[in-house]
Amino acid sequence: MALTGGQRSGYLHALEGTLAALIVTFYLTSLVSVPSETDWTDTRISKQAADSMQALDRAGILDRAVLRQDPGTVNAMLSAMDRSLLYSIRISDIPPPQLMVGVAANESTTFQSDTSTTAQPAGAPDGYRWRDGTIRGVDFVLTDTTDDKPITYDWVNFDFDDDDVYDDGPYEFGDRFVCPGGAGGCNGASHEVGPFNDTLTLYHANTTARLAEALADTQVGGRPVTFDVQTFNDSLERIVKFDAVVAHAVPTDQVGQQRDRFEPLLDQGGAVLVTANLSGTDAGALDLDRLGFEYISEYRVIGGGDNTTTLSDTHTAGTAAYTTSSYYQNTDLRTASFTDAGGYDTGELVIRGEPVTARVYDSDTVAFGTESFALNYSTGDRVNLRANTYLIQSITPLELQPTDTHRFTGFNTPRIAGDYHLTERVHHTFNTTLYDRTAPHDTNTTSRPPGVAETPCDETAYPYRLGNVTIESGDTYDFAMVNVDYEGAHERGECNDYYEYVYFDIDDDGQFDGEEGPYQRDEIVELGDGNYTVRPFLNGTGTHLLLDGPRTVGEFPVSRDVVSGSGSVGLLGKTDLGHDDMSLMRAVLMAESQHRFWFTDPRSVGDDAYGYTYLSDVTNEPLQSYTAHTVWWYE
Amino acid sequence: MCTINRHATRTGQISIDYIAGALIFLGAVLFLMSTILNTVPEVEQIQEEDDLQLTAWGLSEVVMHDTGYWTNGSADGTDWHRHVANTTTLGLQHADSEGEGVSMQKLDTLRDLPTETLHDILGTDRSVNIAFTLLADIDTYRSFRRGNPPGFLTEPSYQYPPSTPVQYGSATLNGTQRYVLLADENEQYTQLYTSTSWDFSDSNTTFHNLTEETVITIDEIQYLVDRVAIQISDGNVLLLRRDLGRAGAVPPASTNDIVQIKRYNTVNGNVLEAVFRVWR
Repeated sequence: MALTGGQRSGYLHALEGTLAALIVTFYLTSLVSVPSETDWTDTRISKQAADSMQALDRAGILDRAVLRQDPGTVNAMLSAMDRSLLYSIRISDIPPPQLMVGVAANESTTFQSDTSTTAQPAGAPDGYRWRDGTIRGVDFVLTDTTDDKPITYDWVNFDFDDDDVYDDGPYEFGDRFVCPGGAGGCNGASHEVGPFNDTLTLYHANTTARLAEALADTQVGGRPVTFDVQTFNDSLERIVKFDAVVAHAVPTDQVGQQRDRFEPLLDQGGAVLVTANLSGTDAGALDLDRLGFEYISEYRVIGGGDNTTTLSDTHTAGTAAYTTSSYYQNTDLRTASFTDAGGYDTGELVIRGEPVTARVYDSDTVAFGTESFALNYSTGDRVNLRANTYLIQSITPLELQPTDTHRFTGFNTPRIAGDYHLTERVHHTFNTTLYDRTAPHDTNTTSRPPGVAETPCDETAYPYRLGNVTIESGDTYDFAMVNVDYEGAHERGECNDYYEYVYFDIDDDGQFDGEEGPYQRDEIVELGDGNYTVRPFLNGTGTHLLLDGPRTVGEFPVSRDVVSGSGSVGLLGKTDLGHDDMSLMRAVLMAESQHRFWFTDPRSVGDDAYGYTYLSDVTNEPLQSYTAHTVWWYE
Repeated sequence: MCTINRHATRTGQISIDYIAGALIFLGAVLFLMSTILNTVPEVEQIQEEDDLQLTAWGLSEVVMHDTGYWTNGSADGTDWHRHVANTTTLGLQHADSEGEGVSMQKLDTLRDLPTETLHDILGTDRSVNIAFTLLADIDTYRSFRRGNPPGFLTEPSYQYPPSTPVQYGSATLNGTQRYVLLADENEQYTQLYTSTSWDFSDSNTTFHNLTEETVITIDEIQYLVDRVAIQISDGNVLLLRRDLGRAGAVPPASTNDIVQIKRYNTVNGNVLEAVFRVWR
């Protein structure tokens, strides 16, 4: 077969067919598109999971689980609802029933015994191993009662009265006792037994004892909360066993170190509360925010807040004492019985340790001595007593409800992430009235801004004003603010109060020329290495120029991010702790320790979480309200 | 020797290259048509599936979390179960003033609705089936050992060895408080006593020997024992299931074309599970 000139055109026909097919294909494809399948899985399980948690809440199962800290029933129910549904529940806003609080000891409050020798104390039974020694001038003997190997001493007995009989004890690690008067160097002070080894460690524990006493018998929403308060020395012991630690009476120059000192505890969500005597100290100079501290004012009232239930704090005539029932309450509010004074009942409240006399005139009216009984209050009114505002809930009996609120949640705990050049916005404000008509400007025509008439507006004022600004680098620049020349006002010697144009003598040649102006409001002028926003303004004190620009204030370790849910640091700026302060510390310690309370499904947690929901205000009085964050996923 | 021209000749001859081009074109068109024809059912199926999902989700949201509504033009309300003929929206939720969760009266009425009426009120041309199950949990957190019960509790005539651990608790079942004892037998809590009071020694006490899939009767109502969880990690709960019936059409045997969604609420303080099935 001979293929002559038609060979090349044959290929072209095939190509034509292919192109035509492609064109038709593309055209029809553009007309017919297959819709993508909607993924209903997320929607379906989201609704199911949200329904499940709400149903468990309404059925009281969540409350039971939270109250008992036992998620078992929730596990059983959810498993019965949908066996493939896993979940995690994190409970917040409710404290755990038991909290371990550590009071940090330092070198001055930690005592180590001398080198001890083995000896059998007088009257001690045979068969044990002993080691005696002296600490703070008091003889002691350690006893190993377990008879195991290696020797581990677990008891300590003291000879406080120095009669060579070790009859004071036994004490174990963590036990607190008060040394009797005259007992060596520990005379009359509270002490706590530290960790044992071949020597004995004792802590001075007055603060611990006071704190433990203040935290005893705490109830939240009718539930007892037990504080286990121990002294510890972080160079000798692990701090992560605590929920919160208190560092008491820290020197102001060492406040910043406390955050790093307790970093391991903060990392796992613990709370740190530092007390320091800040009287006479510039708190701002401590730069607490940068260190992650929340400063806790001693005058701050804590009375509830979002997602908290402030239970009724009741003062009732005839009751001997007031018992606070809300841990967000640091107001010491007590009273004696009311008595009939003829025409009214009178009684003395104690608010924040200060007496306040109240007069109940009838069932509808009460007045207070702090206001010389000049004002009468009724139910529903608010009254300010000892710097706190209270809502009068009832007159007979008299019930006061703290109204100021603050929650100690989310103290910022910055992660220190290296050194940064920290800059801040800095404002230079110049009151130009100070420079009004000062020599040599009113006579030095070279410094007069261009286009401004030499004619004074009156005998003392020119249509421009002069001043100078010293920027961060130390360089000083002259500037001129020019009055708005409205329809030749300057020529007519008329001035007004509005200086809208600003010139800067950037090259310091004594003239406002070239690119040195005019700058109007919000324009940026470059002075030295900085850019500044020009903001002339007028207020009641005269005409001002505000330059708004950056300034490097130094190199600091600064926070790169704030880690939610990690530990928190608070600072109470006093070391002389009264009843209110102890209550405040209780509030802080409890509130911050909430972060460590959660429970979750015992099975492994998967990565493929589908979503989450929030159940808030799941309140079932008298329980403290809580928030359950649920996360669910499928195996 | 022959000569092959590029074009059809006047004598009707067709060149091979022309045929090849035409065949390629026709092949492509046929392939495309085949693909499109195969795609149409897929598109329809996806649309149908989405439509069923949307229907199931929407209906379940309304039925489980809406109060329902009726109106006759001159009066209206949410107690539609008393005015079925004038009902415009079916919802089981209590009115706010009546409490939380689902109304048992509304649920009873819904369950008894004829299928056509149900579909008419729901406003769907899809077939719908709703299966209701009550999940009753009896909290058995508290415990004692045989012979040392709390003062308010009288033990039954024992069917279990001395000193064995006993869990006990109570719950509201069908509106009535009921009391249970769960006794350990070889670390298996298989002995269940139910009573109308904490006195398990009288004639109102019933003994149940729990095995797999045990069905017990309390107040003439049958419950399936879903689980007895006593260990801490599993919870301390006796979980009972009660079939509350179904509403709507009977689902087809094949589950391939059925869209299903589970929703939860509470009824009389117990968890209510509703399984919505929707199909063409």
